[in-house]
Amino acid sequence: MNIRNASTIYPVQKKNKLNPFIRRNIAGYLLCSPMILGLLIFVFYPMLQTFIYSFQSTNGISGVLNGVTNYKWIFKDDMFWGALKNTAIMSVMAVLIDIVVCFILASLINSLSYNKGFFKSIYFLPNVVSSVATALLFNFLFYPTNAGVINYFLSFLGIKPVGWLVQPGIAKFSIVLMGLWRSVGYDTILFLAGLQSIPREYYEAAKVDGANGLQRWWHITIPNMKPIFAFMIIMQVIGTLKRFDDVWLIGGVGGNPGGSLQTVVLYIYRNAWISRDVGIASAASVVLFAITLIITIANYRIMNKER
Amino acid sequence: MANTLVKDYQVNSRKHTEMVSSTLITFFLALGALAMVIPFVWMVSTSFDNDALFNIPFPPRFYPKLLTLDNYRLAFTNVSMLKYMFNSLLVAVGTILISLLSAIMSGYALSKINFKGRNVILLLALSTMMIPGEVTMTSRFFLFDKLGLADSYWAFWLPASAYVFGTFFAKQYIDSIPDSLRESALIDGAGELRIAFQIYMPLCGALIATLTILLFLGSWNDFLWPLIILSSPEKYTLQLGIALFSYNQGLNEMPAIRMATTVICIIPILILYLFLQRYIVESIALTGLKQ
Repeated sequence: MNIRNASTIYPVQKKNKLNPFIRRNIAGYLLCSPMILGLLIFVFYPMLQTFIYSFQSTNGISGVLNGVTNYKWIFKDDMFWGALKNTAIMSVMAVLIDIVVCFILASLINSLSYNKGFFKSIYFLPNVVSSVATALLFNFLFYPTNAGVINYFLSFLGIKPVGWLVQPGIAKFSIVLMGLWRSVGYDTILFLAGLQSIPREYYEAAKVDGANGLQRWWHITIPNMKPIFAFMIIMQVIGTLKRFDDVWLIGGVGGNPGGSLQTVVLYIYRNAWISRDVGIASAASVVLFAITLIITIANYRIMNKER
Repeated sequence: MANTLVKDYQVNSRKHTEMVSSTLITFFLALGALAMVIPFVWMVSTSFDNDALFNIPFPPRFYPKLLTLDNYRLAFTNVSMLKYMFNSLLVAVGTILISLLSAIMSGYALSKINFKGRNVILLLALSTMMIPGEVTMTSRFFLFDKLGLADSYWAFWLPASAYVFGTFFAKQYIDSIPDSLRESALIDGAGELRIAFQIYMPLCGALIATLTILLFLGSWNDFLWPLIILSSPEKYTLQLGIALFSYNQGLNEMPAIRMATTVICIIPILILYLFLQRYIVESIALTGLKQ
């Protein structure tokens, strides 16, 4: 057997003359390139552009620098403050109701020894329905007369028809309920995953010590779920800050009734596509981004301190 | 004797209270489940209801007095449902393919190849998850507008390559597959691309299934981006099509047709859910907390 034969057996090694270290780097970058390019072009560049637009008076195609005029404008704009307020109220309402309801549901489902899968499937069902379909459907379920299913059921309890989506004071709550119908299954399943990660021994030890079900729930389950509560709250706050689909469909660009459903993203949309004032829309986008960032960082700080 | 009797009694009473409480819990959960299902029942019933063409029937009912298919016929003639459905499918399939490919490629590289700066890339990529799409959408629209790609499906497919959550999830998944596969393949002279696609990808069945489900749900139900980027009606996706149809006609008009369009819009996804429910629920539990 001579050397020539060996090189025909391993022809590949002869072909690749490049240093294996460089080859490895090239392969790494090459494989990551679709993701990196995607991020650079469709996330980083638009983010930078949004910053630039926010200091311009522009329609998106041509513009001139105008300093911080846009920021001054939006902070003087009652509609922007209204949008911030509406978004915050809906966000707090949605997160509180959702966390409490889903955690209780998850605990109840978890305590069952049968039918767990059945309830999981049923509660999750609305989650696959789009926000558009949900809004179209609930627009009728929330019908302001007794022909609406919800008012009809309430009439048996002696409650007069409620103008769920037509009264400014109630519309936010109705939208939150509508969102709850969709999100309840998802969040319950996340809580269930968390509940199942608590070690069994804790409960058995407590049982030996004579703690009843409710005591075990209060003293073992809830403290052990803290990180999951924190995670759920942050995810939901950030998610609900971006509310748009349902409020646009129910209330239009004006966020009706009476502007009570005007959210920050709706404000951005309205300025960019109705009044074509991209500078204002971008300034509002930057503010939304800053709020998201502050909440995320604050959350990490608090989480790390607790650890 | 007396002792065992007392014990028996205690055990029995404990069992008894447990049974009562679990019955109560089941009852309570069943009530909640009913609240989840009633909207669907009303929607389907109204979509077949002969009397619901102009107004929703009073008192509300969950089974139509007179069944009709006319509502569906009208829905299909007034709204190009089939076209929209096809468009949505086109958008979803392209998005899924590109996102999956990009996620698996980068996930493999970040997991197995020890190249310079891979930690920086991972960290930078993960940090972009803090940027909400709503913040960049205005600029992204004008970017596509300048590229001449506004009002085309490229505006969905191209950004699909930046699927950071998928990359992260794929990396974690591939971390659990042994390195030895790659090492022996390298010795045999295979290139990294071939190793990624021919050796590791076939082992990523569960990962691909999970990401496909999540991507399909996300793409099919997406609304804001299509609303912004698509301007010609023949390109509308299903969500955009039915939303604008309702929006332009007035939300309270013609409930029966509206509900028919809604039923058609959720049927594909409900069928998917019926077949894959176990899988979907598990993939949510699996991926949700890692996000």
